[in-house]
Amino acid sequence: MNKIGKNIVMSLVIPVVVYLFFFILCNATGNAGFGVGSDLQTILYTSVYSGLIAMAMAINLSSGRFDFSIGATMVLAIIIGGNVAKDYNLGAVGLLIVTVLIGLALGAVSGLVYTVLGLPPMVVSLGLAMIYEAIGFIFNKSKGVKLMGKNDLLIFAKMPWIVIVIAVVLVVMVLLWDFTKFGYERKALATGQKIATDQGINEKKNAIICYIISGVLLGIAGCVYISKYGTVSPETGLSSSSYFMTAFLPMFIGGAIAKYSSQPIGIYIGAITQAFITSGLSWLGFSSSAMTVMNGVIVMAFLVYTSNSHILVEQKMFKEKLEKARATREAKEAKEG
Amino acid sequence: MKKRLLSLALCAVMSAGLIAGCGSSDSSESSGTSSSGSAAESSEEASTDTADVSNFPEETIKIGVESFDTTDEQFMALQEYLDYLADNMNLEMVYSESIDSAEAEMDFIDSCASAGCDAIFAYYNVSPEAIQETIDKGMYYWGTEQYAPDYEDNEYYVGCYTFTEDDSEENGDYLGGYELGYSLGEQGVKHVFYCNGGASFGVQMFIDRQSGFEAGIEAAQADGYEIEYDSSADVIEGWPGTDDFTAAVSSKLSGDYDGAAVSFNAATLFQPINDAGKADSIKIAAIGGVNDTYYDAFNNGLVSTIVYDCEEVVFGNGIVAIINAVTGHGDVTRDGDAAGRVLTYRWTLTDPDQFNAIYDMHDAGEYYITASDVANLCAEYNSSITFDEINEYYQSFTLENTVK
Repeated sequence: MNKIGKNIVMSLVIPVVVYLFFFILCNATGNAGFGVGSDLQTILYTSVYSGLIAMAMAINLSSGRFDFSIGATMVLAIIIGGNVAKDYNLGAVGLLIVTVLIGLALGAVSGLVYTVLGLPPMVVSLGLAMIYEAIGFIFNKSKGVKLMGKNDLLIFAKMPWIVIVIAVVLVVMVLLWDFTKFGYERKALATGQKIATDQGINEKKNAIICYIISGVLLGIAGCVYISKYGTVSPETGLSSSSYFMTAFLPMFIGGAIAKYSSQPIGIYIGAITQAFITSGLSWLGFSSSAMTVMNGVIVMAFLVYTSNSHILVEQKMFKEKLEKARATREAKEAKEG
Repeated sequence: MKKRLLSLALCAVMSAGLIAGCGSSDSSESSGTSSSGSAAESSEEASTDTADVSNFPEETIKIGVESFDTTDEQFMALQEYLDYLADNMNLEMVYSESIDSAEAEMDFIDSCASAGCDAIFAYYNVSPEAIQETIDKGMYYWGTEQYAPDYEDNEYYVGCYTFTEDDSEENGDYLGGYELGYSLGEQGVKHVFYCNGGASFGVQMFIDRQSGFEAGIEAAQADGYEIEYDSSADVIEGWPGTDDFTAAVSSKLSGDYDGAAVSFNAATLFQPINDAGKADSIKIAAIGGVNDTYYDAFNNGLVSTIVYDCEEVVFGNGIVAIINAVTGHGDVTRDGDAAGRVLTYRWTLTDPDQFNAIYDMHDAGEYYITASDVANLCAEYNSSITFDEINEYYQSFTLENTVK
């Protein structure tokens, strides 16, 4: 198998195995609806929504910046964008553009505040989350945004738009990640900030761009979310943090399989895997609490694996070296004997 | 120095944001012209005049209002009514942020005491300690029927509302859930799923609603309605926004259900049901409000039942009790020796005409119980008023009497 073939297999093996596992189990237990028809549509929605949030989180987290304002940014962007699109009859594309622009602006504010203040990102993002939540609460007299029944606006959770959205996002993200100066600099900063800045990479500029991209992704995620539910309520008391709780598993799976493709693709594959697990457990009748436990166990397992995978590589390397040394000694002894 | 200044500026902006988020809203408009309608006619003492009561009570009464979620639609509707009263009477409201723990509740009560509040209006309560803390701080406390037996002898505990005439353990949440289940059975629904909100996470109000819902289903079945419900298979746990909720809704909508009961804001189901092409075949029953969220859905038949607590009827009596207590007429809050429980009726809306009548009235900034009606129930304003008359007055506001 050539390298490309191996990479494709390694990238897809996790979701394929998970899908087959639940498909067989669900069918064996009389739940034939898993992974087909409308359930597949839901899996697609869940994977796109979670994948976008996971990408938005990963772009900063891989550089050590935990952004607590992710949920608040998404909620505020869609509350403002949704109301503007409704009031001015902008249509679905208008909704997407306005929401993305607001997400972009909020991302830029987050990045600027972080770089100007120089405070720990956790502290800055906590403060910004509270501010964004409060603005979202005040906007539209605390009523959030309600677009139920406006099917001309709510297209982004349906076929073919949802596929178009994620395809465009993945293409752009892969290009940005792996084929631009920004992407190389981001990678350099993520793996060795001191060396990268000593080489002349502008860390602040890179961080602001990361926050902006994160804001754009959250704006798109907001459009996908409201297209599914038709309504978004404002959040207060940092309750917007619940929006990014589903981002961790895709992010860790993405981190583990990124070496076979690209981090954005890895994250999206992680999101698909998570969507299969969630849907499968739901068809099997698992309670919400049980699903949360399962999710936590899988995240832990991935963390354990990714944190210790180098040990396996080292062991393999030592074993090879030992065998090579033995072979050399045996050859030498044979020659002498 | 520059960093410090910027940090201070950020803190100032954050504080401003928080204050804006939890401060009182002036969104409601006072009408001053509304009539208390036919229900009020059944109570002789209750006046329907629209006298200017903006200077009543003589001294401003400051009231702290506890909420579990400041974005909850029922709370926002109540907030509009309380703001309307504050605009038309000498009252001031201080609203809590979303209270999610006993500590947050204690903090709010302490901050109310520091701010000079006269009373706590417990739209929500986490722990009985909060009642004791309120009393210890010298403020009056209204609300929380479940703890009333422990505090009803205390003069600072001024009562609560109740939905039951006897000492039944079936509280308001239980009865609300019951109405959801029975109403769907009565409407000919054959198979229903239930969104239980926080019941599986131990949130008492949702546990009570689920128990009530299941009792309502059993009662409907006993009355010959062919409604099916399996408590292990027909339940969706949690709230929207999570992947598991989305997956559970999807699996239910691909089933043979023709009814959905929702123990929280049902609006999050409208679009998924619509997208699944089942808007004409599923009926929703929800504990909800009369507002924009439900207007279209109720009028086009997607929502067939709303169990509704009319703000001025169910909760308004708390303001009457607090004014009476603070103005030195604590005796008017007592039913015998104990703090009075005002019997009110929850409205189960199944007719769009009723929904629209309530919607239109509230949308115009008018209420079934006006500020002058509230003043008339206060002994400082109407010296002949008694607790029995107040109780009788609020009881008269049944759906049938009030909404023609």
